[in-house]
Amino acid sequence: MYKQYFKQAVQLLKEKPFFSVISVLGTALAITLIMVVVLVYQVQNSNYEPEVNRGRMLFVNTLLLERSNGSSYSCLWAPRLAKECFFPLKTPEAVTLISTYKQILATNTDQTKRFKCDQVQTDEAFWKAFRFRFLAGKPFTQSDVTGNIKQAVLAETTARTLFSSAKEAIGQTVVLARKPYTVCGVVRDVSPIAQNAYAQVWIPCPASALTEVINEETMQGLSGAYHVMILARSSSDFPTIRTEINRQIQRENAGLRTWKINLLGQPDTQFTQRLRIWSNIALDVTKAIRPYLIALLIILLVPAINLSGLTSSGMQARMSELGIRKAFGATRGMLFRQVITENLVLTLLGGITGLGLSYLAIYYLKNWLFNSYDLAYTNSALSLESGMLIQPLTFFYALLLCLLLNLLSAGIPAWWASRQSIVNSLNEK
Amino acid sequence: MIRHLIKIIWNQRKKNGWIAAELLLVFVVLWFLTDLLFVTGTVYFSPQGYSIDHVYLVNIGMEENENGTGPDTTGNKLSVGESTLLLFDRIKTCPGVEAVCAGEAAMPYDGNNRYNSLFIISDTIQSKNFKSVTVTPEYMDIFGFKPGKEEKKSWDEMLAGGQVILSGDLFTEIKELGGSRNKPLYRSSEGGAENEIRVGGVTEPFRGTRFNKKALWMFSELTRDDIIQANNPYYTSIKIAIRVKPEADRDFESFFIKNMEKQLSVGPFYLIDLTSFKDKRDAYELLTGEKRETQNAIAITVFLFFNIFLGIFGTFWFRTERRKEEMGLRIAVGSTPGGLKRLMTGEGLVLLTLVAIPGIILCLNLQLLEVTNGYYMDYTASRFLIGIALTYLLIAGMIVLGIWYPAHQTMKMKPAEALHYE
Repeated sequence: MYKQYFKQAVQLLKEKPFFSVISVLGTALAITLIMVVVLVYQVQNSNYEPEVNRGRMLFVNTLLLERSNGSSYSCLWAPRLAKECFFPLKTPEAVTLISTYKQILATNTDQTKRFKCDQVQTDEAFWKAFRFRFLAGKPFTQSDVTGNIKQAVLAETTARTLFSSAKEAIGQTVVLARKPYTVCGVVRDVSPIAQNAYAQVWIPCPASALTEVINEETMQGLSGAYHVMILARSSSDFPTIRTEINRQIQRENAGLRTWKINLLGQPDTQFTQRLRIWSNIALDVTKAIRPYLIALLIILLVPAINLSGLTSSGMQARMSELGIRKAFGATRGMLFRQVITENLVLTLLGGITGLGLSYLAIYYLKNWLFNSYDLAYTNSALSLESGMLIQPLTFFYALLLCLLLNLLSAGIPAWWASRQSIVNSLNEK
Repeated sequence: MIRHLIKIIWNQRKKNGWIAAELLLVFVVLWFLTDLLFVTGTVYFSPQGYSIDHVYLVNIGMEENENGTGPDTTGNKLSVGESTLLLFDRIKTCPGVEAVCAGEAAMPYDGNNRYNSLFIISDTIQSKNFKSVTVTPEYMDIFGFKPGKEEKKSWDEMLAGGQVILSGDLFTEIKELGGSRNKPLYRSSEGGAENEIRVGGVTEPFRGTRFNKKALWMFSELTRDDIIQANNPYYTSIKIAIRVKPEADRDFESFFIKNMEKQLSVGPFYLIDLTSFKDKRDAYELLTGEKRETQNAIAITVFLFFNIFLGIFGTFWFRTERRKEEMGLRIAVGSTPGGLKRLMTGEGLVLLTLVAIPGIILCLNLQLLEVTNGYYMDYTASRFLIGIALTYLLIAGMIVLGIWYPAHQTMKMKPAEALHYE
């Protein structure tokens, strides 16, 4: 029976090519838009190399220092304070410090090759929290950090520009901001879209920064340029970790005289950290996502209403045919199913076109869609990789969307058409 | 003919009711978006008042000490300030460089801003906030600022002896508060000779960024002594910009690096590269998100445009289809095919015009309630009229296009066929 509907639907397509094309295009437009939103969400929130653990990571990016007289100071973490607050935690699998990226000049020793690149300072736990593909060598270790041994990990392009190949770079000396480092590892390039792990050169954070004396007047040891990222064993540990962090912060605050630390609701998950715009007020998640949800609803409903109009107009022409079917014994349910199924063929065609268009849109509009305040000064161009875009759930979402759109745009006309009395339908012309 | 059309529309008012409602909604939403894009576009494309063509920022890197808390001063005989001055003098010697300037919190699109207040003291004390820009005099020519029409002195003379230059808009606003060139301005509300600001000149008005209507800047001089004494690069961050001779500005960056890299290794400083101010502008507009908001608005407009077109097209197409007998009858009693087309299109446009009347009232209310953007342009009558005209033309265009195809089909029908359509 469904085969019958399918054949009829294809026949309809051939009979009214213009109407079908408009219908398919309208559906494709709606699907493209929503899939773009879904894909952008996916790129920002799902797991792919090197950020394969986003689902079980927590982020403490900023802190607010408050004084009893009401003034406050918002800043990033200094390694000393971060160490006091986060290293003693027992529940997480790893805790890592990462500095914000800084543009520096990298050269080889005789200065014949130079490369301006984004440099980041971090520690051993970084390589546990993120999974990088090492083309050669290995990451630096905690003893490199504490022993102040100047090791560096280069991204592929950096290594190739300075040393002609990844393998050849290992063990060589690279001069970073006029200081010599030994290359201990080379990794595949990272796109700036993977904002947490992105850099083109990674070096250990200076050992002295972890042990410097906290001075509450000069802010030494309190305010710095680092973010804290926490890898939990599983996301179900998040509440335990939050409690532990709060307790640790309270303990730390007891030891500070002038300032008190306020985390403003952090640690954040990957999703909430992207919603945080202001560093000195707490984040209201529902308020922040409301405009996006409204926009999504509008993007879905407006084309659905348009298509609904189109479908119902097309339905008028077929009233006599449906009347005949009813006269020969079709029930209301059968007619309803018939209309929906025929419309489904059009919707699926529109869906496939829409999905293809959405990938094209993501590719060509990536600078508009993915650029942000944090990425304004990066050195590498934004690149999209297949791992970001092709995830098992994508196609499922697309199919679900098609079905939903089909129901919305054909549901009411179909229901109405099936309810018409036989005589009226037969007479309708 | 218009009366005839109105009669037709009224006769079918029940069916037309839905289309009218859709058109009304579309009219208001599209007006909102056209208004936004119009005012943003007007600001964006109006002349800037200064120029960044062929101007580059010299990216100087700094070797840090062990802790990363300051410059590495081991083995350096020159202080940070002396090193900066040496860089400044050496850059001038590079062939192809037309001029060099240095500035503190002064480079356009840098994100580094310093604000201050000045006071106009007469019977009352009024204050004005401004952006404080400290520069060497070459800066004014490198960025192509123009002196005010009545200014006779050179930039050097205007800045000499601690005098300041006011931007055109700042001076206009000071005059509105009762100030003038003859009356002194003060840095503090307490006045006094030690707080006096002496104005050496005024520029032609300019805009700080492409998304600003005006700029309230005060230029003061960065002397060579100032540069030598600036020893904390984290706080004072003096930046150097160059203007390249237009004929030499081809692949200039690699030329500059090759020629100057060794010479610019002074003290803790080293050369990273040159950044054109066009690139800095792109990055800055990204940082502030203004460009993004406009792009979002354009995207929403395009999206709505397509949907509206689809809606209008579909609706009018099926209306036309269902009136085939009527059209056949008209042809049979003598209407020309062209006349038919005009009738159908005219009907759509008359409907639009009828809907536009409540639409204009709604839009006027929105503008009076200041719901639309008030930052880029004031709420003037001409702005409103242009917005309405654009919106009307856009929707009219869609209606004409949307009716064209079905009207064309109807036109091709033979009268007898059409009459048989029952």
